Amino acid sequence: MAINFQEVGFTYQAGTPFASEGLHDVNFKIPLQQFTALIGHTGSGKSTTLQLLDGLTIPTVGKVEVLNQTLQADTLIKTTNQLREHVGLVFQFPEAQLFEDTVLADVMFGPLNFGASKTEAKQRAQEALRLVDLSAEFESQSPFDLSGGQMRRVAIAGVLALEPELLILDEPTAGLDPKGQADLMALFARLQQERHLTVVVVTHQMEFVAQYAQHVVVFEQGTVVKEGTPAEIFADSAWLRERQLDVPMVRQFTDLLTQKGVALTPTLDLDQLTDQIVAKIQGGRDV
Amino acid sequence: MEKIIEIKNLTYAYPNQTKAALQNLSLTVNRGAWVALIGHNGSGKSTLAKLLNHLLTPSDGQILIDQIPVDDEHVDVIRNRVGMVFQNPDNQFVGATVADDVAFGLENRQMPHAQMQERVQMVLEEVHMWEFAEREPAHLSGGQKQRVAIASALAIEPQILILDEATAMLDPKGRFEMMEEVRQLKADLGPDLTVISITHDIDEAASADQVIVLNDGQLVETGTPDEIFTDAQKLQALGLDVPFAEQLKAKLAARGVAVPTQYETMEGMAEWIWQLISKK
Repeated sequence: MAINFQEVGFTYQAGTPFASEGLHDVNFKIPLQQFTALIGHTGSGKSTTLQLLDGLTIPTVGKVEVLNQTLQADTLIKTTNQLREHVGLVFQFPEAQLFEDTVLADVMFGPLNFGASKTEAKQRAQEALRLVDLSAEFESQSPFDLSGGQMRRVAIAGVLALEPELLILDEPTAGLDPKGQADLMALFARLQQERHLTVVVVTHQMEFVAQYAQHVVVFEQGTVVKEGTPAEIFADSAWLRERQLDVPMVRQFTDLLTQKGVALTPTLDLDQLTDQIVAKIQGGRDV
Repeated sequence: MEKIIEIKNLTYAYPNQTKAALQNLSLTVNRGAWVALIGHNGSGKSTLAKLLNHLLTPSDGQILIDQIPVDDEHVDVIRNRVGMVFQNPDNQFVGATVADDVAFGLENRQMPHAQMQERVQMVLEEVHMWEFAEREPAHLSGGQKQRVAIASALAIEPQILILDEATAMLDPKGRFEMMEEVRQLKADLGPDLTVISITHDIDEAASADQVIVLNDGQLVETGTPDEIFTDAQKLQALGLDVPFAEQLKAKLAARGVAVPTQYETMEGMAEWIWQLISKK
């Protein structure tokens, strides 16, 4: 069963003079075992939505169906603990939450906390570290001696060690250099494929959305305004520009050529675009 | 062209590190240029920025700014010439209000109160943040915080503004707003302001006057975007992004199409393809 938001609204500090609306009339689905990207401006409701997925907050109105649990206004927070064993949430700048003396101890903390034996926790931690491409030599190092990108991998391994079915990441590539960003996104896509995870990523990086996402949800001012495949979402570049959202480069370039009267089949893939251009160039010779 | 920065054989090693973060770096920057400093994380970009402002002292070599040596003796003069904006908007606020924050650097320089008030208003108006003057910095958006940080740097009327990945933590809208602000400032001040932008945004770097590429503490090359960005393979090997037009060029070349050898923007590349197709 897909993850489903039905008429969801969320008000911060509801019933107090400080009440402020975080989400309203939110309806969308997250397909299981796929890579879903949530996009939209800061303050559009993406991060609030992530917290609802984890049962960290409960909707004020409407309901959220996630992994056989229904969350609505009368759901008790303590009943959502069970949900969190299956949901791995990676916050923004997760390396700020590292605290143990060694990389291994830090990654073992989660499994131990959920009742795993020391042997099991160690095994799961080592497996998670290999998944994020950190070799055994890192295990005894202090996480604080690592580079920013490596620290972030350790923090992500800490969540993967919980073996979540649903992996949620809030701007996981923010602040990394281009190679660090590309490597990390490729890693999430690979994990999703190999482990059949449901991956939900909040990101501003439209190139990655175009490259890896199977489903895209667009947030604006506390609600969902569009959802679909990357091809569907990026088909209307004018709509995206009006909202000051970035348009993937391949799409931008296709638009430039279309404006000059070169008819192309829309694509988000650079190789497919190049093939079409080459066909046009060579096709011309035959005429 | 008059040089505003001259770096001669600059080396810097962090305490207790055997490998130098910067090794024997020599380069010059012309007054009034917009310079993009690129390189992967750990390549020495931020170390260089901190040396320019004498937040770090060189292990060897020398920096001249406006022909003044950057050293302990001249640190006050240098810091009046070099303003910095760092990556994390939350790590650079000291004042209780936006106006206090901008005034901080001026108070340190013992500027008379009346003149200070005038200056604070002027720079906040310049970055379109004057209406927020009495707000708490904590309640601003990331983009707004960085605009206040620019105002604080501008308040001392620097000749050089260094942006150390100042947009890396902002969303696309915040990034756009901030860069527009800096571009506007640069347009207004012309040769009176030299901008050094440490960035991973390849499109921003492509519109700079000069690009400096660092890798593992060494200067790889420096030149105009045309000179730097035409070697897609080299950029990739250095862990850097490749401008879209260059990626497309490489793909076309791989399919046997003879592509332009000089650097092209996206528009330039689209025009070139259109010409090629319409000529047939």
